[in-house]
Amino acid sequence: MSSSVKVLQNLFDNYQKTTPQKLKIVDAYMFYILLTGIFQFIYCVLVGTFPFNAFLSGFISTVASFVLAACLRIQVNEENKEEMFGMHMRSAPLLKKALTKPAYWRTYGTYGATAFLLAVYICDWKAVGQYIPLWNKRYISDGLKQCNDSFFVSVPQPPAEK
Amino acid sequence: MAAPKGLLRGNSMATTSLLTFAILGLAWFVGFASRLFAIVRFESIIHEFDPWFNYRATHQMVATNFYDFLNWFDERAWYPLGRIVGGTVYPGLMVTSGAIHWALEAINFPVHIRDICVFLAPTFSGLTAIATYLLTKELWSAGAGLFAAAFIAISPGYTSRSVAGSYDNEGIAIFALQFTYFLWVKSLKEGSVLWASFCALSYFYMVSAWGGYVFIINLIPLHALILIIVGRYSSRLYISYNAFYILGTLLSMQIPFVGFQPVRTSEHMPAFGVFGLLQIVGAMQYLRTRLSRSQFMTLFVGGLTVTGILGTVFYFALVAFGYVAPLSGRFYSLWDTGYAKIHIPIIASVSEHQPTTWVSFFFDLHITAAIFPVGLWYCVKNVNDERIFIIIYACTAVYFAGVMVRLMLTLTPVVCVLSGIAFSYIFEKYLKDDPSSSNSKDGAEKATLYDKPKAKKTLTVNEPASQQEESVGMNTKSIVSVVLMLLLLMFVVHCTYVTSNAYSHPSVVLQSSTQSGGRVIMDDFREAYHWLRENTADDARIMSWWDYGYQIAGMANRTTLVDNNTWNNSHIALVGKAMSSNESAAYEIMKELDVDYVLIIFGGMLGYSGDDINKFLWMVRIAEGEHPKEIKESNYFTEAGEYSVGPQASETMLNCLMYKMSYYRFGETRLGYQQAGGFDRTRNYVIGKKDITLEHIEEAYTTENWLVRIYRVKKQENRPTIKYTERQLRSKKAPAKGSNKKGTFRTATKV
Repeated sequence: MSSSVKVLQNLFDNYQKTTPQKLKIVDAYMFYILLTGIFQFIYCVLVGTFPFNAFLSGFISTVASFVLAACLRIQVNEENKEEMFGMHMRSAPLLKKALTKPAYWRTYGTYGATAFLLAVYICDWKAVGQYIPLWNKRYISDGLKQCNDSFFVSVPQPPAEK
Repeated sequence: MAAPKGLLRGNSMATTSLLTFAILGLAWFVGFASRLFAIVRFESIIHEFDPWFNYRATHQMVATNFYDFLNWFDERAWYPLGRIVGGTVYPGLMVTSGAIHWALEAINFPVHIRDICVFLAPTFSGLTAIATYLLTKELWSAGAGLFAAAFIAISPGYTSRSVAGSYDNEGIAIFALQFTYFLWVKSLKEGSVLWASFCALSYFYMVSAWGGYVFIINLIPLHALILIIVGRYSSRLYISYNAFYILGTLLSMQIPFVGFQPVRTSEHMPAFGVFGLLQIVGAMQYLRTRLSRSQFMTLFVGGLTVTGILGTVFYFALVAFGYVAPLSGRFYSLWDTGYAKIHIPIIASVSEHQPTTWVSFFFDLHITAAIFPVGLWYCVKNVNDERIFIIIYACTAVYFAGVMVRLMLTLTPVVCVLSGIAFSYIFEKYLKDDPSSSNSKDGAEKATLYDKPKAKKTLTVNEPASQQEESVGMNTKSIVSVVLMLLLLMFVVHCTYVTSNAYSHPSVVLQSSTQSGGRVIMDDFREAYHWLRENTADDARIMSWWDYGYQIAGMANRTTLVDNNTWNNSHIALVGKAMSSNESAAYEIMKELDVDYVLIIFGGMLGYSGDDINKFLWMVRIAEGEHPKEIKESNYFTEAGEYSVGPQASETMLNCLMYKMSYYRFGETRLGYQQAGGFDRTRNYVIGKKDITLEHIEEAYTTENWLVRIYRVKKQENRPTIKYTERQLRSKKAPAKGSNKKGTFRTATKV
């Protein structure tokens, strides 16, 4: 028993000395996630599983965050460089370049704006779409839309209630 | 590879891409075209039974919207009970067709939903070929990938379930399967979370498409476990499996039909177990670098044994207390093959669930069945992480295909992959012009002297010439290449023949040929369903055996009692009991269930062997399972113990409702002038009882070739009147006589 305690003590000291700061941050995050997961599980055991969906979604989310953080840690860890075959991280060059070089802003900005407009179209996002000049005509009530006469167009109508 | 001179000189990568695109495009086209036999011969119609339900559900979704489809409660199936369709169906197929329909409508290219449903499976066969190419490219090389793509495009094992008109889950599920496996292998090789997430998304598509996703969620954990045991654990495995498992489980629980199963049933427990094991192994790898050997061993051994024991005890406790369901009947019967016949006769009665005969292996796979062990052997010899995966896949698929005919479908992709590898390896060795071939010729000549005792001296000279892979002479190489090419040609001929003759039957329409070779089409099914559609009330209830439920619901648009979903065994047993009892008992059941019409299939006039009299024993068995006191299977056999409808048949058999409905008025038919009446062409003898009278049902419609017979259930007759002198209870007052009768005017009125 005491030997295992000594082993764990040894382990902890080793960890403190050899792990770089980057990894310690990730480890702290993982520890926090672990605590939230444990709390949810204890709650479920004590209070019952009634909205089972809620328990499952919360608990599996914590497990998922923990596991994905562990994957990130492995990929960033210097010790694993040989195994990673090029996955070894380098922080995303794309993002860094986009944010720091002004020459890139126009292109990325156009892509971003187009993607956003496409999303508004696909999801029919009314909260944003009602402010876009020609697009908001679809939200005007039907009677007005059918009519092609010019003297009705200039009268603005509130968007029809659904 | 040196750049080829001449027309396409210069860029060899350009030629490779051109060849790849051309070959994959041709594979798609050929796969699509070879599945169109039924369309060309008959028309664009949905085949079989199950696809009719899928079509009806898709139609419902397209007519309303997606949420109405997810919340659909179908009161026109399983008559008094209804069916919650949204929660008991895999929506992937309907959503795919609906999405294609929506996309085409959006560009103003209207295609009827029925045509989309009919042609969906051939389109996806091309995509499956591409997914197989990608998978084999990851496993071996691009050349092997092209071979595998060509194989799976036409292989009959896959074609059987994906002809045009067969609108069933397997059509898109095999594509999802291959694509998921490709993404898994890729993510394992790269160790990347991105690829593992794509794999989880593809797994989500597979879960929405087919119940066979259980195969994926057990094969990938098995692969991870074998890698750990064999000593090939690496952080790439940790990353890819964990990301895939977590995201995949979360996504799979979004399908209403799957619901909580991934945390509640035994089929998903292996994945969870391997997940836990991987955490432990990952932790140990981390600790290994930080501790000395002895400390590590104490922690390792102690910790592992404790967690292992705890894990197994915990699992069995969960099963015992009912938190985790034990293996469901469908999957348990794959291990214990005798289980279904005794306990769940419905599963045993489906013809697709019978064990496979060796004929099916050859019929469905042809030369690939013989060649794929070669590919398997090469994978074993040149093993690495992903080739272990394909080895495990091959072994498990072969076992399952041997247990159940239907699972030949899961064997076909892996057989195509391994045959592709085998052919690619052989052709790579044999089609290349080796510069060392002159040496090898001498080596070969000397090798022939090996057997003679004098040539012992030349043995030492032989050794360097013939290394581990003997170089073979140019002649042998060409002969082998040509022979293999001929084998491939014969494969194509066989596949086309099989697809054309065996797997292109719409089964809604029967065909046969006359003496002079002309074709006779028998459209009795559709005739009967159309009669039902036109001549019965909209809310009429039709009782039939469960095989025809979907077709009746789809084509006749009437309420049915039981259909192919077979989710309620007791209800089916009730229908079986009604079919096996005598007419009065059956009438009681039919009154209880509110039946208006009864429909049976009778093949005696044509010689059609898939009719209800041939299925009758299964009806009896299923009914006996629920009502063992009233129905006994032995009552329906002759004294000698065989099943017959001839003169030796037992009384129960001759009086049961099914017999009466099948053979009503059949005794009056004659095949020729001198023949006896009532000769059953399917059973090949004269029937036992020819003069049948029906008391509670009457014949409503019989189709042209007597294939479908519909009977109307008569309303209860008026109660019979009993003479006053024979009454048990007599009224106190004197009976009415003459002018004493109540209800008449005593004084005659004058107009």
